[in-house]
Amino acid sequence: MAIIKCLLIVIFFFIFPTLVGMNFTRFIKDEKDNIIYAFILGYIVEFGIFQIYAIPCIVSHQSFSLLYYLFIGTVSALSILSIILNVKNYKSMFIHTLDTIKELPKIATAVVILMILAECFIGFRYMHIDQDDYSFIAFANDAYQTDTLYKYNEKGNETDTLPARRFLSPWSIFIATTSRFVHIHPMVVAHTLMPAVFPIVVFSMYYLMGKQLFKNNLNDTISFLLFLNFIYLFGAYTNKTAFMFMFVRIWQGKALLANLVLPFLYVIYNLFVESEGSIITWLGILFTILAACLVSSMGFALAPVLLVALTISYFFREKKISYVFKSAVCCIPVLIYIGMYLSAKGESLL
Amino acid sequence: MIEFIKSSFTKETFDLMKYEFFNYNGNIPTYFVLFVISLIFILFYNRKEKEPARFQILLTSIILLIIVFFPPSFNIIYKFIGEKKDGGDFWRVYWMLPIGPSLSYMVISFIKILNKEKNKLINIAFIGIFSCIIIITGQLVYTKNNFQKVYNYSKCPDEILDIIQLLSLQESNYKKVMTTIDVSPWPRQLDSNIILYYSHEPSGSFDESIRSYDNGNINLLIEKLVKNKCNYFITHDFGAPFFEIYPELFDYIGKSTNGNYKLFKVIETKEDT
Repeated sequence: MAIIKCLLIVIFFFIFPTLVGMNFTRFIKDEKDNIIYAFILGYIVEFGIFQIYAIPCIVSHQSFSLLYYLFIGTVSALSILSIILNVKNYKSMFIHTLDTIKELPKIATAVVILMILAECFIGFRYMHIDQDDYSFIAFANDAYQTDTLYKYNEKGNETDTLPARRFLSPWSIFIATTSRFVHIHPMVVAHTLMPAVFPIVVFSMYYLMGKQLFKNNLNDTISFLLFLNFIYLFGAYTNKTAFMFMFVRIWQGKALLANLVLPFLYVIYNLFVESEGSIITWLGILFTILAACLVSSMGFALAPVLLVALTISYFFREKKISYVFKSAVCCIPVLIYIGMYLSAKGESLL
Repeated sequence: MIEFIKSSFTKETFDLMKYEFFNYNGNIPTYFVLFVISLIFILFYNRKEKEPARFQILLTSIILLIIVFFPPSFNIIYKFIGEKKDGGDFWRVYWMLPIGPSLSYMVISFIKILNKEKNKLINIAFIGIFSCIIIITGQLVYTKNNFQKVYNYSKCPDEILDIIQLLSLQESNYKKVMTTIDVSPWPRQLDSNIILYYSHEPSGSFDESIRSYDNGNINLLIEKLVKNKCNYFITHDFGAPFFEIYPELFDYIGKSTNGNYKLFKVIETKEDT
């Protein structure tokens, strides 16, 4: 049974995202063979898909099982599609990966990998208590054990009222989905598994950012990652920094917002501009905004503001109005969710 | 609109901005100062080439800093996410700033300027020097305050997990529990069949219940338990011993491994099934 659970963990946290992402990277000219890009983009797309399915299911009081099967069914279908469509690409991906490994500076890369693995181990082995879990994990556990979606409040009483901010950012339900797939209790998934996996995801994303900043120079990228690790490790000067959240609360959606989703918006927007506004990268931005909404209600505010800042910044460089329109379209889901939030609270935008 | 902009430039706004700044960046905002230095570096670094960092990091950060520090936009953002009765979330806007990547980019690019011959040992030496600067000015995240060792994968304090599992094993369709404050965040994380008397930091009448327990006011405590249909109670072992003194009111079920927490069933509550 333990071996099966380990296999399910590898499938859910590593194989599914990579295969899902490969459906998109095959259309991105310079990143077609980049398995790390597929991995990160796959996570973002999965988060976006979950957000699209979750809100209607929650609002219409469906069972957790329906949402679970919808999501896992979609991800499985995308994975199978990826396996079939990318059959001709496997050889080039393998060669590209090997070439990349050969080019990497050996010692620096080994140090970076060891640092990240050490961070994963500490997250796996040690406990950090955070009071916010009284609701996050409780909601996840409710979905997991009772097959309902936000039917109970934090105290465990049945309620018809959806928690206004929480139901629009159903990260708790994603934790429940993960638990059900890997057959492990939500408390263990959140407090032990996610802290052991998500540092790998976060620093893989920063690897992509480093490659962009240093124009694919792998030596500089690894040095960038190495120093960034130090910045993260010593960034606990207050308990509010993104660095602190990464290590002590990574299972909470807001930590993923600060350390994965918002920084990835920098990466995907740059790729969007480099690929001259291709539809695939534009979809990547859209899914990033949806992912931001999934992981935290702060995503409703921060992701669009950051997108606006990136759009203005790159407008100075490219001077293309079409990019502005495309960015504006990506913010439409946020407006819909804000409207739903205000409606749930009995307020109006006007 | 003009009136709104004019009215934003007040002492109150600037005091709030200052408070939120130090709230996030600490009393000595070293990382933020280094971040600003990194932006100045990027401004002048490789000006002739179209460095990606100039737009991806520099210009985006300048726009974000204007949004954060320009009083009218600050007030708008603060109204929506800063004003909360239990403390606002304005400081989260700093998460948009690429502080870590910008710092790292500056250091690596600076080393490239200093080490034009690309000597690996010199590279390592410079990275070591800058890492020491970060170590001295920063604060290590791995401290005993932030991380503790436990012997379970749920990452719940071992004794609290014991006592909640004991409650979870009780054969009762209805389990509503009043707990001590340190236990309260945990039961529903483990078992959704448990209902809580209060979910988190108690206030108002919930606080009164806890105080009645701390003061040994057994009558008030029983009244609260019965009125709110709580049929279980988790207490510290060093708490009020009146639970053992009044066996007709409380049925002792068991304790955690080291005996620091005890579980009682409240006999008076009629809601037993």
